[in-house]
Amino acid sequence: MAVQANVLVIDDDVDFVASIRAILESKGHRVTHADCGKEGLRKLAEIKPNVILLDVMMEDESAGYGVNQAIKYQGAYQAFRNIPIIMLSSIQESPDELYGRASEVDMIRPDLYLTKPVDPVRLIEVVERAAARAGSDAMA
Amino acid sequence: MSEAAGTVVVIDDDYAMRLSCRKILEKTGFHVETFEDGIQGLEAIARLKPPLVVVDLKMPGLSGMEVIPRVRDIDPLIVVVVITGYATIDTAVEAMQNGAYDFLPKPFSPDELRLIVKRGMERHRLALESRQAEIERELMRRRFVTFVSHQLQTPLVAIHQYLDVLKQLEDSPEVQARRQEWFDRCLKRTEELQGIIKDWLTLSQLEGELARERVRVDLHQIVGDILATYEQMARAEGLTLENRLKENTCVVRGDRNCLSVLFDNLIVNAIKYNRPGGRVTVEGRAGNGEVFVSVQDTGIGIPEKYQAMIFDEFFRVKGEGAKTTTGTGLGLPICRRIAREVGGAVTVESQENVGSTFVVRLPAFREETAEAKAAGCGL
Repeated sequence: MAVQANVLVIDDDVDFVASIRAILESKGHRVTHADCGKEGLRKLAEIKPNVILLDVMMEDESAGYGVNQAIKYQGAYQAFRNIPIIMLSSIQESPDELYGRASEVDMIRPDLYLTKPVDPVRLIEVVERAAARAGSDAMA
Repeated sequence: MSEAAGTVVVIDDDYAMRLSCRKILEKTGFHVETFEDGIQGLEAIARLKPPLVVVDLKMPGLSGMEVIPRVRDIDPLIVVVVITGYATIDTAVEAMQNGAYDFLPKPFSPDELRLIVKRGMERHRLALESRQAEIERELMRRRFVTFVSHQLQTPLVAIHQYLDVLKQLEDSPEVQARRQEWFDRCLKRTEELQGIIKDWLTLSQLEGELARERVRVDLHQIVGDILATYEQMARAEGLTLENRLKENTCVVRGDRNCLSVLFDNLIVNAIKYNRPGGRVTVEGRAGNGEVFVSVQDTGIGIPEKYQAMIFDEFFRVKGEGAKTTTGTGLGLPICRRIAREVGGAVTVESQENVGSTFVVRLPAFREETAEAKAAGCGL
């Protein structure tokens, strides 16, 4: 089997989380759910995930991007900066359209962007690849 | 940038004219840049983007008449005032047709120049404001479309994802065990989507020009009918519903269906966000040509920080009590729009864990005079 993924899912839709949890757990991966950005950030230290699945639109439109930016750039989350973040949204929107300046876009660009609903096979592939990458980063 | 806001570019081949324009306009507080021919002037205009240009029509080289369209090419909002030495109606009309804002025939007094430049500046300011407003409206519209699509997508995505997983993991024991639960959730989310679409339609219809009746409506009766519909549902929750409206006291002019939708939404909320064994009370009073009807519950209440937002489309309070109830986030926006339609309003007073009171203010029904009736019929 591939590297076991320890996935933190930050998403406010309990049904979406229930279904992708089933898919990931069926492959032996661990899934922890946080239903808002704040809780997600809080659970980082406790869970020490090797993959983060992050919803774009939660309480407000930019909540997902805010969490992404915090993990990648804020000192408080320095230890988690290299965890691959996969962002998910039901509408295709690139950060380039949401933000004006290129520097702002670079600050919030996720490692990967997937559109909901996600094909289960593809989700497993993407998560396993991200977990493998996180593993090799940790060893390096 | 702030200097450019008050900059006037003057293009005239006559040195004395450039000097006097500069003196007059600088005295009024404008920043003035002068140029002796059209080419130099246009270069400066492209660089400075001034709000206003004063240009002499008759110049060697590029004439004023030729300068006008080139200025408009740089920015159509730049106001061009032409100076003409041979003020015939024809040349003035031609200049205006080319896009000039106004013309000033020579000789002119300092006051005439000041006045025309001030008016032109005002014109520029207004044009700039409306362009800005147009851009903001477009942005709002685009964001709103994205937002509505997201609201519609969310339940669909949840359903789709369940089905995908069911298909993929059909034979696993975990899925067998949860199959029923997931089907129920899919049904719930389907209902949620239907609710959103229905409410969205109601909201759009209220915005449109649909012919609506304006008849005498006694709210006592409307509220009574609605409460009767929910009697059973309330009893199951141990709730008491009470209609304290008196007959013929809260009477308004409006559309019966719209007013029913308004009070239906408020009463359903009062039931949904109540606590077991609680009360829903509808009361009313009239005075000063208005009626006030309140729908009061003894429920979870609305945290103060959210009270200003609950009438926004798709806003839903996030909290322990609200998590378990379903809603489209469109009920209260619909209520507000219906009330506004007839010149009324909906307000809220609420205390967390004590309850909420929504007050609907509507203009009272007034018997039309014979004359008004005749006018209303278009006779």
